[in-house]
Amino acid sequence: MDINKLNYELYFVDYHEESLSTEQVAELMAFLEQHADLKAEFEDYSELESIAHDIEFKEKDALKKIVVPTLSINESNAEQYLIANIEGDLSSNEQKELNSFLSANPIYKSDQNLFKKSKLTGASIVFNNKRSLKKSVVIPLWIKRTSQIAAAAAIVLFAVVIFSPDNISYTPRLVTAEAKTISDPAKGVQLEYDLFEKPNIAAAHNIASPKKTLPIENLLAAENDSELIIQAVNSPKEKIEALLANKSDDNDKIEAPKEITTLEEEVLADVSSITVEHFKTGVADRDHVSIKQGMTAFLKKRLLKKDVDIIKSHILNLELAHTLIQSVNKVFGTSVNLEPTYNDEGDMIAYALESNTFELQRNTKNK
Amino acid sequence: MTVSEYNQCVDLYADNVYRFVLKNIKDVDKAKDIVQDTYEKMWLKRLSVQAEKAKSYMFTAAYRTLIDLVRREKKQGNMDEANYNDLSHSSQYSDLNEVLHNAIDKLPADQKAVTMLRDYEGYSYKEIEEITGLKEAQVKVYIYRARKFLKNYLGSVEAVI
Repeated sequence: MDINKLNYELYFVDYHEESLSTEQVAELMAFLEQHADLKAEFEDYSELESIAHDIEFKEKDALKKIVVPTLSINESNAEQYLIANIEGDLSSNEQKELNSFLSANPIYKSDQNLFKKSKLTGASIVFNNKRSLKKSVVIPLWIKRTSQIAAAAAIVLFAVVIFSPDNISYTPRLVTAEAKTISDPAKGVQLEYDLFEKPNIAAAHNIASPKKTLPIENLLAAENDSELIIQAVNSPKEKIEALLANKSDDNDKIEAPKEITTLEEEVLADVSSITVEHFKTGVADRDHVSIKQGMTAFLKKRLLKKDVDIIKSHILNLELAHTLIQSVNKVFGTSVNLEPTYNDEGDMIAYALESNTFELQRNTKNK
Repeated sequence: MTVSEYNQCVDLYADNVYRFVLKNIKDVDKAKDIVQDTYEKMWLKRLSVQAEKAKSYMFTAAYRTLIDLVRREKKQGNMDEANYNDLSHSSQYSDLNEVLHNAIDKLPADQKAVTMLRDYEGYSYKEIEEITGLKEAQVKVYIYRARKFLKNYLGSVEAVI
């Protein structure tokens, strides 16, 4: 008869009526060990029992024998314990309990041995073709070549861009470019220019004689304090080039077109202090440059708020190099950064190429 | 997981995965295919699989492939219950190990797999739960049932021998 939660009350009553066999008492004790929540109820039965009997022999305890804790392992659950044992699921107390049980019931030792034998032991099976599973980082040849070429091109371009001669001018992009027409109907002259969008079509011409135009080379620029003077000259290209190269002399003065006498002041889109005036008779009083150089220097000066020479800037070069490096990073998954260093005057004095694995620093030439 | 770590996993665990699969399906070619497939899956997932979880990941992948295959081919008959009365055996066993593996083959696929994970790889119930997707209690029950079956099978053979 197995004790369970459906029939334990019967056991409690029988226990207190002392009608349980030794085995049943042991089973009940084991049950109570497993269901501690029922111990209080079991005690209540004892109290009820004592109330029911008003005549009491108070020395009962002296008569009783010490109840040796009974094993919870029995015939019905021995296998579970044996399995739990080989699975390592038993606590140390349960382990001792099982050992005691096995000592008392050696018949289960053969079962114990069989369960032990049911454990699988390491097999000498090997997978022989491990090489086929392994991977190596192989870059396809075309990617290798492409990357080599690209890397080489990047380095060459970068070097060319950074150290190039001053043949790349800085194009100010902050100025909204739009065609400008300056005219003086009274004088019958007109100057048209669109220096930033179409710098090569700027021309000055006579309204009365529209065919007579001045190419862009005939527009010169000169600084006058905080202003940029744009002047139109009507001289041969060679003379202008000589002028810009500071090779002109007094005998080689450039003559302005007489029909262009005065041009009204005009303001470029974002540059408020540019005036355009007529170049009158000579250039000796001013240091002239080409219109593109003049605009470049003037705008750069305004942007940086510093006096700088009319030189080509590294800014554009740097932007190109930066764009190039970003492209290389994107294609090849690298993380190279270009970090320029500027001095107090806003000039780039050094740059560094940085990545997780290297850092290359270099000073720029002081031009 | 780096390429180096992946290759280390091949050296460390390919035998284990192969043994686990081969013992379950008894087909060398299919077992090799599953090992290849398992490693290929891990290679594709190498960026998200941590090296220390690689073994568990591979056994999980191998187990799923294995169970799918077994169920598809219905090699094991009833997947859920072993025929515990089927203790028939050959009397030509050369050793107990052979008996045991013959007995293992009679277990349902799930019981066989969890028992192997437990015995060969030493996984805990919890780890087997993660690999197989079975509940921990279910894993335990499967292992206990398998033990009983194996013990009875071994006992019946010993009685004959």
